[in-house]
Amino acid sequence: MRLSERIYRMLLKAYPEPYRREYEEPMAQLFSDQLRAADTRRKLAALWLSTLADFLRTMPARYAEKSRHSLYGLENAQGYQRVPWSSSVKKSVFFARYEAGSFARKMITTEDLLMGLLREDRRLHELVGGAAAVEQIRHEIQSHEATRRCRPLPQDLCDVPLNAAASSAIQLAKEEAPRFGAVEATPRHLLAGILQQEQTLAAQLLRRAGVNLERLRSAKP
Amino acid sequence: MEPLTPAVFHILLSIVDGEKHGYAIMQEVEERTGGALVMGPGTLYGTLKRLLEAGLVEESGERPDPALDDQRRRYYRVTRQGRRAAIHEAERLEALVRAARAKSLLRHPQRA
Repeated sequence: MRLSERIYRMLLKAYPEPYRREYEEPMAQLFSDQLRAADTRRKLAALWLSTLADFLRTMPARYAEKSRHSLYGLENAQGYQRVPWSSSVKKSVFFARYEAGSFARKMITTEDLLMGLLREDRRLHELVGGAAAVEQIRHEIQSHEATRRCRPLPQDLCDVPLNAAASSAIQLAKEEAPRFGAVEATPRHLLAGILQQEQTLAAQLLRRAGVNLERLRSAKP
Repeated sequence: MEPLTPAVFHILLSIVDGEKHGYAIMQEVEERTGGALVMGPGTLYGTLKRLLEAGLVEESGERPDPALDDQRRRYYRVTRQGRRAAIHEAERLEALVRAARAKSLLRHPQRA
């Protein structure tokens, strides 16, 4: 391995670990290709100058994306479409707000989101085991009590506060949609977001009903 | 739809006619822009990663003959959604050029 390649591989170690795991090899491969084309000292110097500039620009950017805790900064990245909510999700959140009100809560929880989804999108009933299973879920949620902290809800949905797990579920739903080529976040994506809040009652009830991510992702839209 | 960044549009344009690996994309962009846009590994793969996450690009499962190519290379192709985004951006740029021509900023193309 040439000295330049060894130095570049050392630089790559500075990128965040998850990113490196995915892209270290192809980046090193690309740099090797560039090195082969740099057949004079002048070209080699130019390559190093541009590579260092590229490194200094992109390495901090990868950390910034990571710290935003979003889909690698997709939501904030210039030049990308924002993932819109489907009308079903908007209606579900409306119903979730109603659910929160009916339980005398001044916040929306993952359980409210789940009830909103099941109320709005009847196609999801089949996924959780039918009408009887939906009733069972509702009963268990009604009999459950918990204190939860609130967070502001995204302005593109509504202005009712959201607790931490529900906030995370909303974020994950938006990340789930583009991962599978969907142009908007649908109830299934929000259900996947809820399912990933493993400690919540909503996620436990879904798991108990036999819902898992694989099943959700392979279900018809 | 928001305008695409130059790096995103150039990458989509490079793979719109067939899958390519990172180095081939980089070379095509450099050639097309006359060296004005040179994407280093960090920029190229950072952009590809976001395009993958946005569903505009997908990694090709097929690998060329190992005797002909390095197996470490990854090949990328545009998705239907990515093609739509590229068409939308090309139309946006075309409209801009038309506006520039209307203001006599550019000459009308010579007819053959």
